[in-house]
Amino acid sequence: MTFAFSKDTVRKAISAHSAVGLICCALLYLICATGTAIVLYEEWQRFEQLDAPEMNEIDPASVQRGIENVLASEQGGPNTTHLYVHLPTKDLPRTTITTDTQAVHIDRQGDIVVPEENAWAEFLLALHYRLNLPAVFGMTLVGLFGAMIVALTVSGLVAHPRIFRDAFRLRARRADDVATLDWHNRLAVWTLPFALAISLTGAMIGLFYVSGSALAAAAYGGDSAAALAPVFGDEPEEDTAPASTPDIVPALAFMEREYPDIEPYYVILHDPGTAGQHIQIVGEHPRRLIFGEYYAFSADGAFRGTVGLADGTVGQQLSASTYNLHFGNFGGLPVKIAYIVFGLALTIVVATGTFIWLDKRERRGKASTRLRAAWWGLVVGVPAGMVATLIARIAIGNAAPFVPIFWIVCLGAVAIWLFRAMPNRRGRAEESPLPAE
Amino acid sequence: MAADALIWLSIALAIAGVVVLRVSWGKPKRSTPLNLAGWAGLLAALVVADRAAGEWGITIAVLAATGAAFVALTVAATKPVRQARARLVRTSHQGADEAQSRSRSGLVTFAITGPLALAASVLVALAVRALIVGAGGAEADGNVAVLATVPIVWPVLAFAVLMMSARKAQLGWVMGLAVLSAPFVFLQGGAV
Repeated sequence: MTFAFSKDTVRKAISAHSAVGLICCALLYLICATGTAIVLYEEWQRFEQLDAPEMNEIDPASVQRGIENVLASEQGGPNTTHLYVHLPTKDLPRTTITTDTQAVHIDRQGDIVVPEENAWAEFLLALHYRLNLPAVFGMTLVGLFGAMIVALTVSGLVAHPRIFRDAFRLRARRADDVATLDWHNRLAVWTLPFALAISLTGAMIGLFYVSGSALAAAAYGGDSAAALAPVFGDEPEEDTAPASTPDIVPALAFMEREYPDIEPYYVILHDPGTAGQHIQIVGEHPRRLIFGEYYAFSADGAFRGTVGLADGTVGQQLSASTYNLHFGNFGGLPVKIAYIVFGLALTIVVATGTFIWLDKRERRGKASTRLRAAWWGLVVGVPAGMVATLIARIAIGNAAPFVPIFWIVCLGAVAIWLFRAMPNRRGRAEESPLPAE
Repeated sequence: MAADALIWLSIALAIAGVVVLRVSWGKPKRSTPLNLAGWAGLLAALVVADRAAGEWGITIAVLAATGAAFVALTVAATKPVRQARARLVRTSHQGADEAQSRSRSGLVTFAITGPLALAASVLVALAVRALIVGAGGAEADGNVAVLATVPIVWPVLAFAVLMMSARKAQLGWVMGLAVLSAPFVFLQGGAV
């Protein structure tokens, strides 16, 4: 017995698939391409600043000295509300201290060495995360497009009646529209689990401003932080009375003694220098998808407990797993390479999807020269824009204007391809590898 | 050590499952035993991976299976193919092109599948939370359910609506879900 959708259902599914794909294709392509590049976020940071001090581990006393040095450097200015210490990890073996106003690398002794300079990696992350728009608009837009990958996956499955029989058929060497269709279908089928995982996690993160706000409005009087508190924990009451710098040495010693298998990779000081200050250590749990567990300490390093991301409710563990599952940083370089390959495949799926639609249009006798040219321009322009900004980072430095450079190159590529398709050049532009009908 | 061995075993089973399916689906006639063996290999990979390292292990096994399939596709991509006219070559969509477009407003369709279906999905998500919390579930689970439900329900609902021919049916499904879920907005109860 075989299961198959009716032809009518398949036709409607193809229509729905095309409609969603056409509306989303441009930004979806941008999101997939930048998402593929940002898998190497830590590696890009290292590449951007080759002279930053690196170390496999750092002594807790040196971390304490580093914190005191950074806070001393900010004396006279506004107090930082949070201070983050990135401890050396395998992917990013650097100790970096970030406050509300600065980020610096420290050496093994805890001395400040150089300011952190990773503007290109941050630009790339922001482009993927929020399209360089304000977070509320950009993240929501990216979240909406993430959800549309789910819609495209479901509609693609229904529209594909021979999904298993054709699963290994890839007639790439035909180099015509059949090859394009094969590339699209085969890569889409095999990246299906990957696509669902990254689109659902991405949409969950991106749509927070929609779903989280609705939750906050319905159950917490509009307080989004209160809506997240049961999941990620809440912040204790502030007490702005002055106090001495918190001592992270006993906290890190406690982690080493009581949780030897956990790898601390972040120390967070909340409201440092005030009576309400407290310490959080984020510890990585090996062979888990969760980004870590929050270990809470008082300012003098006394252990207060964990939030429950590692062993709390299913919801807590699930939400703590979304980030690593989305960005592919849960299994070292092999997993990152897999994410890059499958991310590239997904990018190709988006690109070829629009080419398939253009091919069909042309087979029906509707000229698509300009549309095809514009799409080619975008397909080339997005990676060209990323490469151009990377070159600008190397040539100009950390302060290079990445956003305008990216968009000028990207839209410039579209303009060039459109120019090449103009009527007086159409003789060349309309040369097409399509088979005669 | 035992966990390491199990992870490697799950990776091997995942790759073997894909290889067996490749052999099976490459035959002119389907082989039920080979199909079953392939799927069993993949299933066993997931079970072993789960035993070894839970959700992390399952993810690794899935990545290994996908990687194996990509290797198979790479081999297929390099093989020469018989050049034939496009319309004569069997494709996935043979005999099933797009449905004829109907003369109706794309803007209204966009409004129904976009903002309206999204709003209905948010209401469904809040209803799911109310049911979880009402049944004695943890508040954290209820809250995460809201965040997780919207990205699942909205795209599926949007696709389902696009599959419907009649505008009434489209509106009926979206509004129906919204109306059914709306009362649960008042049963959230805040922090429990």
